[in-house]
Amino acid sequence: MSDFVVHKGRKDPRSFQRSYDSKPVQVECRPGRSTTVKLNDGRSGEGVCLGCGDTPCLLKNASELTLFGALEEFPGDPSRDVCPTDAIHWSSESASVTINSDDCIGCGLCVSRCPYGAINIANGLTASVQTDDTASLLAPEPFTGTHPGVEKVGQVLRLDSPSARQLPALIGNLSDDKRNLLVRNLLHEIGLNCRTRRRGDTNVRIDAVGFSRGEKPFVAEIEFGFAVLESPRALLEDVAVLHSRYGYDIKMIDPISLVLSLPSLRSEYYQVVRDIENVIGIRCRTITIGALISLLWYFQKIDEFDNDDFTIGTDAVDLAKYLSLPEEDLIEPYPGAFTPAK
Amino acid sequence: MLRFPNPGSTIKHIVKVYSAAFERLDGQVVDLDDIVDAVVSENLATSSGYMGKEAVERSTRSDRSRDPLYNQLKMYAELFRTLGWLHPTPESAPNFTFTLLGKQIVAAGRDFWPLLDECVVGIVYPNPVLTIRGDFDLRPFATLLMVMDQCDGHLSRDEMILGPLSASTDRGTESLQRITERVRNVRTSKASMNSELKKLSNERGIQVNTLHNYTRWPIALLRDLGWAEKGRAKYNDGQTHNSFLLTDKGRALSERLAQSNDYRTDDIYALSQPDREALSVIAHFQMLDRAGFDIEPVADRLKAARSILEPYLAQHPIDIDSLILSPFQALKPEDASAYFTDGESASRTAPNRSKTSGTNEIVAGRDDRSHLFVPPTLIHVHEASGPDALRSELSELFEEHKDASAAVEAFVARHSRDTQMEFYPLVTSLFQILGFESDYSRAGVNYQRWDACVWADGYALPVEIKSPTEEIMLSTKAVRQAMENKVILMSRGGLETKMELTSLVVGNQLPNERGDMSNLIDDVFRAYRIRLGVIDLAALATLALRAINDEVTIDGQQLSELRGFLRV
Repeated sequence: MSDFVVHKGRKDPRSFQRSYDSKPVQVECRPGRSTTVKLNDGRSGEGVCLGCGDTPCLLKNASELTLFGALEEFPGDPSRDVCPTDAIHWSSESASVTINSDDCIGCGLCVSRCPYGAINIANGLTASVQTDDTASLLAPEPFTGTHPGVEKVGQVLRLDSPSARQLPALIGNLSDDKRNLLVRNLLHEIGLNCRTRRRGDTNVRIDAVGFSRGEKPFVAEIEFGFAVLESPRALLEDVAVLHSRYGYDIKMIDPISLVLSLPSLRSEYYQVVRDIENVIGIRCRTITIGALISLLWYFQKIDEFDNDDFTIGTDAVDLAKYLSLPEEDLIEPYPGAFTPAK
Repeated sequence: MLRFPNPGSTIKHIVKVYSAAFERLDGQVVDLDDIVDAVVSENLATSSGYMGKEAVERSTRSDRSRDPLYNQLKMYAELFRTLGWLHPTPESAPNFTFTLLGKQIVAAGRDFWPLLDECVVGIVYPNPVLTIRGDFDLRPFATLLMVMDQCDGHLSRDEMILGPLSASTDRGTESLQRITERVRNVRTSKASMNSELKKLSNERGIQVNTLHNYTRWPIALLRDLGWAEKGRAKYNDGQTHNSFLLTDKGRALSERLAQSNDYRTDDIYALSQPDREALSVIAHFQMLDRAGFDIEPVADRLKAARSILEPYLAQHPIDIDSLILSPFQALKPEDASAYFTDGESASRTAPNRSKTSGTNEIVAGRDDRSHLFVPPTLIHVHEASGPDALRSELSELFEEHKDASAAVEAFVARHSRDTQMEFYPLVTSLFQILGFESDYSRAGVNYQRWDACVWADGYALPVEIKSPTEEIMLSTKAVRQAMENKVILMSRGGLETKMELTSLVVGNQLPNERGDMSNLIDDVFRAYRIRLGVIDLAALATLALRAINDEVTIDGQQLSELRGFLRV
């Protein structure tokens, strides 16, 4: 007889509280509307929360935090949370997830991770979970199994949605660990393997390390304020550390500044980035949260950084050209997201 | 005053560290080295900028008191014991076993917070799990909450120190009332609060800053558990100050605690053994029930325990459904093990680990950095140079002290409050005394990022300067800026220089721990062949004094190629 007892929130990761009548094959997100799920029997309708045991909208699988080779030792934030603001929770009562709209920043991470189109940002601001089976797509019994591969099409939100416009203010108010979690999870969703520094770890100065899908390593500095001007020199140190201590070829490493807004053109940032390329031959890339969000909302992935991707050339700085999104949709989500802030 | 260790981590991380150690080592008798191994294997710890096994190698010192990872985990282990998750073994104090309560924390996954609430309320002194300095009869966190509630819903850090954390007992209504009155009495004004704090500091022989440090963990818990939040409150004189305000959750918990029956170690050991066990069983599962665990499977066990307690309850009519008692925090470890079983035949053996604890065999955890400490090669200085006023200042100090070291010490002390406006010219003048052309940059010339320049053999060496008012001790940030100076100079030109020549950093004082700076200098050289040289004011002044007294100076080529710290 054991005195060990089980937590009521514990679920079999392969369990589903509900299931669709037949296999879902496609999820279509449409700005301002609920998400549509298409089943392989030809029926379609509003996606509904199936109460997945592994709650991918809420928790990452441990394997998602794994890095290749020597970088696996990088002591990153072990949090498996998907939501950087802890707005999404499991409700035992409703056997589904719920989202606290007061805490939600409308980033769309949970929307992108729900395999069944049950989460949307239909109001343009915060995510909500569809728990009503409005199209009568559900089977009567719970289900045990794995997630089917469901194609995602459409877009979560328009880039000029209210959620996009309010991002700088909302993200600016987040603590460092939440910002880092947001960045890490955005990078994961656009296809980059990544680990971010744990809050309070003063022994490691690199903010993030990871690999592109082509297994090319990158180092990143996450700077959302004035310290963005110090980011290039911090990247130089990061590259030196990866080269000197972990044996990576300098030319193989992509240094990335992850910023909320591009600095003003009058700032020294761009010139220093160019100086580094002139003298050391390293190309620092600059990606804004706005650019990451844009890729996420259109379900775009980055395989590898090609030569010029997200670099600051000698021409006008405009990140929009690296996003491969339909030109008519490329509206800057907030000032500084694609072009330098004035 | 109660002293809580401050491991400098978030509560979430502390739980993560425990989980990592538990997952690897449950069922075994472990020591701190085992826990260090487990935590490092999960990439939850670092040392000196290194990760993984390299971190352990670099941290491990033959003198364990100077081993950063070991000491950090020692603090963690103390917290784990405080929370009832780790128990010392009877055989040997530095060995531990994981408890069933700890197992429940791990099993809760990301829903551990409500059980952590229970464990924090369960902290009680004295207890048989952890010996602490001082004679206390306290349930500190319950008291913090209840005093906060009774003191208009807020307590500042200083009020916590003067009130609940300094009390020797909180047992009974009167004691609690005394603590509340104490807080109310010191809450008259900022001056009164400061004076009382100073008085306490003198009485206990503890610096005020140290008293503040003792509150870090309690405050982190109040905040992270959502019991209190930062806010403003008023002294009785109407002035506002920073404080911590009870949240709705904190207030609800305080009200529950006020209505509960508090059983402490001496109370339960006053019971007969069967009653003690029965009460412990009921209290433990009440904690788990409140924390969201399914206790239905132990319903029979609870029923039996209630039945055993019937005679006791007949004599002591208490509400058995509202106990404050955490058995794994209040019982002797051997009793807790006897009363509860996790159903697994724990091997209780030492883990199969390639022990690094034979510390005599361990090389001190640092690289050989001797190549980075460079003594100057002195050559004849051809003619006196540099400003006469500074030459006189150094000469007079030497005359006064009759000793170069003392004169330099006095010189450094005299300039210890120099701002950029004074320090930049001072540094360039000292280089001039050494026979080098040197100039500082004009403020606002942004394209020249370096603060000064020294010319050696006709080539420019950029200098990053940190005045004492910017940095008492030089930081790695300054060294990083020196690296950037070199890149900018090479890219933008304007001054004759070469890539292989050094970029200098000059500041008031070198840091005591130069590990990070040394690593950075080595890493940058290995990666980019950029030389970074670091000189403190004392070294520069010593050389300047030698130039004045002995007509010698540092060899220009050596200065140009300096990599590391100039050691005079």
